[in-house]
Amino acid sequence: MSNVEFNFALIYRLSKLRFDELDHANIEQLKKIIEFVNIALTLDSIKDYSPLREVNGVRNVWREDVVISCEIDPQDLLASAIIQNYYVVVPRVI
Amino acid sequence: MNISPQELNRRIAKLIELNKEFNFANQICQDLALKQLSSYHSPGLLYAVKDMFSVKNTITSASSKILENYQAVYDATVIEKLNAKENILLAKLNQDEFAQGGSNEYSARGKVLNPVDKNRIPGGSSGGSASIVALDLVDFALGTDTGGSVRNPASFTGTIGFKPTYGAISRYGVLAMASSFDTIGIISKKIEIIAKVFHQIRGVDKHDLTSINIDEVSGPKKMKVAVVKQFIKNLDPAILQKIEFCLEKLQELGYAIDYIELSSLDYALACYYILVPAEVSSNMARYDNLVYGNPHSLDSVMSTSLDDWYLKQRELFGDEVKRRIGAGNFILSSGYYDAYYLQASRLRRYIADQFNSAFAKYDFLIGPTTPNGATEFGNSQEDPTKLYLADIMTVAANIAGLPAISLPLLEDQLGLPVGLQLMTEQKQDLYLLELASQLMEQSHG
Repeated sequence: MSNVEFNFALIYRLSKLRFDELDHANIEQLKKIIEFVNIALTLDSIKDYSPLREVNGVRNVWREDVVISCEIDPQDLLASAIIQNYYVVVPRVI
Repeated sequence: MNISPQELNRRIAKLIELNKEFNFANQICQDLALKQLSSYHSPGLLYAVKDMFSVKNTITSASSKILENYQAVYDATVIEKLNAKENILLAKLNQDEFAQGGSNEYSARGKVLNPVDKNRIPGGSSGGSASIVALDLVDFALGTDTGGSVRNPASFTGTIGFKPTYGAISRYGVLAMASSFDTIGIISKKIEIIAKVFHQIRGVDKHDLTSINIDEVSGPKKMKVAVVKQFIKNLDPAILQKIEFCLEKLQELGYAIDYIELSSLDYALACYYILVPAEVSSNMARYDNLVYGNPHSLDSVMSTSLDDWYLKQRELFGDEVKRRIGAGNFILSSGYYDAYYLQASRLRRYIADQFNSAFAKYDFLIGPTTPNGATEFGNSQEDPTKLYLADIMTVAANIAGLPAISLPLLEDQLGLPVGLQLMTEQKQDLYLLELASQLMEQSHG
């Protein structure tokens, strides 16, 4: 993985961030971050370890499938969005 | 605490004055504080919180332009609990944007200055929390600690920074950075205040399904402490000398001292800087200024396409946040997920397992919190990974979910404060605080 091909246009598209090919400083810094973590890929002896994702052992906390009323007024939750007929207005999708 | 409205106003006036100099606060909650005081029977402590914590009807900006005008619509669980105990909230504090950074240089609200030396970083990302405590303006401040963001600024400002076991304090209502690492932490100058506040805010919360109860009594004590060799390798001799002094004090308290090497820690920073950006890129995906954030007009929404809207709005993120979103999306992208994310998740297990083996033999692991005292501003601008290196001693506790505390007991060769870090196994937070208290007393006695 030492010669990772960076497709920065794709990374920026996935990130929903504007990509500017002329922004060399940011691209160089991003490359440095990836190079910085590449040491993790060199350790082969851990391939039998199971991935750790729930660090304090709490996993799949279930509750009864019942309706719980929201303690917060929905009007408040939507206060900083543009609302029409209880729908959030978003820009054109198609 | 007995405090009159006049006295509270005087304290707030001082806070406003010093904020002009040090820039630790994004917002000073004068009206709220006076209202709280008038409704309380027996007022508790004065405090402030990082701008990651939702406080109803106040701006919660995470020091980001994208949330510049976002008014929280409910109180975080910790705020509710602190209110119930009649503590008084004085300010929402400056920080690195979305808690991403270790110097407070990455804030849309300008950098926070270090009260120890104004030319130096206060550390981060909870730099405002450490600065306001160092200036004695509050009894305690809350921060968030994802890879050291409470302990690192505590180390650089000569204050105490406590990061509990992952899940010990509810994260409900606190903006997320990397959810499987994020921990609420407490900064104060007094260990007994940290213990008291921790008692008030810990415990299972139905709104945070990762929250847990810690052990209220400590397990059998082994009376053994180990110094982590990797943490003292090539260390500034002045810091090392102070560590040795602390080790003597620990011996006086009856602890045997050992030195151990945890080989997995050589991979801790890489593990951290793979998993955290991956989680960051997911958590930052929600910020698009459509549902919360900056108010905008119907015309502006209708006049654009959804993709254009995203690109335009997300320009508001600062450079470090954009870099981490980019790194995270690279790591999670098809073709690289297994090599990076899966490998780092296995590394996480490897590191946690080594800690568990160590804690079968030792009560505590010890080392400095940071490899040096606070550096001058501007040291990491060209290469962000330079700043990441400062996290080498703190990230391991977050990778394994361990409680850790930084105590202002060390000093570098320039005479700048450096923290001594103690770590212990999950849920043994009270034992950690007990030893921290004894060690502070023994060292100053």
